[in-house]
Amino acid sequence: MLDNLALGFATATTVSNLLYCFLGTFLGTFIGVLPGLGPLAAVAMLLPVSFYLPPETALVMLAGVYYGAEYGGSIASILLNIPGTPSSSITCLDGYPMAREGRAGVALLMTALASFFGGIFGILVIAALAPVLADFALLLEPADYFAVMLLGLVAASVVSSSGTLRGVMMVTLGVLLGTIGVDVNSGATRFTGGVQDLRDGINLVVVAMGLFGVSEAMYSARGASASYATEKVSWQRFLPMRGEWMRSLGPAIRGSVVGSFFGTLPGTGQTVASSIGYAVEKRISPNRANFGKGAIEGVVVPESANNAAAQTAFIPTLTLGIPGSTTMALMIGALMIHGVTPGPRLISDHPQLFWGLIVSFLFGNLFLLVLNIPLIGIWVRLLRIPHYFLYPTIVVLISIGVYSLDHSLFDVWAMLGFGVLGYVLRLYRYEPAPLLIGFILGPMMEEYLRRAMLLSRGDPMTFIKHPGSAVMIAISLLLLVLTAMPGLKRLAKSIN
Amino acid sequence: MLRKLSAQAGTLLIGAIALVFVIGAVTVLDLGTPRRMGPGAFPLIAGGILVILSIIALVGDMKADAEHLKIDWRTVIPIALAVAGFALVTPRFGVLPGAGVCVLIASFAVGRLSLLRRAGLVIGAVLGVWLVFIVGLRLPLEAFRGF
Repeated sequence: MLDNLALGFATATTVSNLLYCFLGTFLGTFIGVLPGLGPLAAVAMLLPVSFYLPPETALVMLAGVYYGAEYGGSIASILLNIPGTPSSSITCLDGYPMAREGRAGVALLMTALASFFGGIFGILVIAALAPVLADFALLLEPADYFAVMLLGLVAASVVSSSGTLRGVMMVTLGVLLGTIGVDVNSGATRFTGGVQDLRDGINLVVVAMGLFGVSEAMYSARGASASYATEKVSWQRFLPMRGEWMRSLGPAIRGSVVGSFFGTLPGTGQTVASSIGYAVEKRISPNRANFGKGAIEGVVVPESANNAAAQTAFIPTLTLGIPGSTTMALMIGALMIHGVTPGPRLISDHPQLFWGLIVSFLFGNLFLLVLNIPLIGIWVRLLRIPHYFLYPTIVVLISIGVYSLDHSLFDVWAMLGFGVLGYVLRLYRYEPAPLLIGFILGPMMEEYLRRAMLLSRGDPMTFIKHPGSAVMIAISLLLLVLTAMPGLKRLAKSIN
Repeated sequence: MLRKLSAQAGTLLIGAIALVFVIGAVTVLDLGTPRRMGPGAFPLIAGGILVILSIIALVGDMKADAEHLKIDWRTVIPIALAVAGFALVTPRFGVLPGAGVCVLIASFAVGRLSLLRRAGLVIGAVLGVWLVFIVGLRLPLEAFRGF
């Protein structure tokens, strides 16, 4: 363990790695602050840049971009009530009321500290857990992998804000869209309608930018013109009141624990972590009456949770090769481009990369803290950009971002198509986030399903005979039944 | 009945997409055997599940007379045309003119703007794109073409 950490320090503290770590967190925060652009957009935009770097440096930089953007997203949530990312939407609940009361400075400082706390907690969890999990993962068979992904998909659907049934529908739609393109096993082309550009499937970035970027702009561009009261923010007071320090410690710890747990589950990630953390705190906090009206705990919990989850999301990504979130899928893409296959053998085959990355998280979180407390003023000035500039600019940025991936105009048109689809889905109360998880996990799931069936000679009982997969399928079913129960009862009643 | 159904257009759309996948899987693709699943098997299973779920959602929502939001054409059309404008202008004139057209059209989505502000927005965004993507990130994009 100590040897490993020493190796990690040696890798992470080279001048170029430190520099790129700093650059990554800085650029990430910069992009994340802009409302509507989150970690996914930030990582997608900087992915092409990382191709020219050695693998460790590339990963260190992209990881910095990722959690930098995560942090930047909270700034926009607190000051403008527009979350840069779904995961920071919870921070809006109490952060924005705080800003309205002229306590934006306090909210931002506590966000920085809570993020740092959660981040460090998450790093310790990775360092302790990832190697163990990797050893364990070597024992997993295709049936187990299939069940892990099924659990991930179920988890992603039951936490959907539009309810379990709609969540499952979105996940399944994502899985279906993921089958478009050439089938790797048989070479058959599926559902391309003869369009050449669809042979390699639809690019993940195209789907993500369409569903979230374009449809978000369609949905909120006009609402945005209401009013942002950034001018009212007073910057005199940064320090919380005396009692608030003590009141924040418990929520920070609970948030980190909840966040670390949900971060490791594929399919859930930060949004779930911060919303569940917030929900738990709202039940047990002595200050619960003030939640939603600018309670400091309401900022500390989601921020520590989503940053802990941002770190622990690397656990399934690196040890199982299963991306827990869309951004992690891009990370896997970056690894593969550098010839590193994520999976149980990553830690033993590339210890330098793994431990270097872990230690770089430590420095990255430190940079974030250092960057953010003195630089808050700069980020705030970014937000002073008049609101009517935002959405048109975002539309341009994502169009160019998607175009720059492959210089393909087809991708731009496809993004528009997904934008319209996302808009229609939202109108009819289908929240599109789970779709993306289905889109990522679907193809892998199919692959493992087919392998498992081949190994069992066509016997579907194999999923129950393997203890690992049996347990995970049981949990998935339980989750589905428990969360779908109220809806089913209502349905039965309305039919009778 | 028809009005009730049109209120469920979202669910109907999802169901229709699922049906396309199911029909495609059955008619065009090889389903294989349980042991060697063909390329059509998985889409058939997933599509089948989605068709069933769509029906459940449809029945539930129609019983409950679920509400839905109205389309706001004032934002949808400018944003859609903006992306389309980018895709049409860029191949002929390069990325910067494409970006200019895109931001100009998109600016009609945010409501009334004075001419000066609109011009400022377009110039600012094009300049920003040039600085960030071409000077800063050095992405191999063609700033101008055919001039």
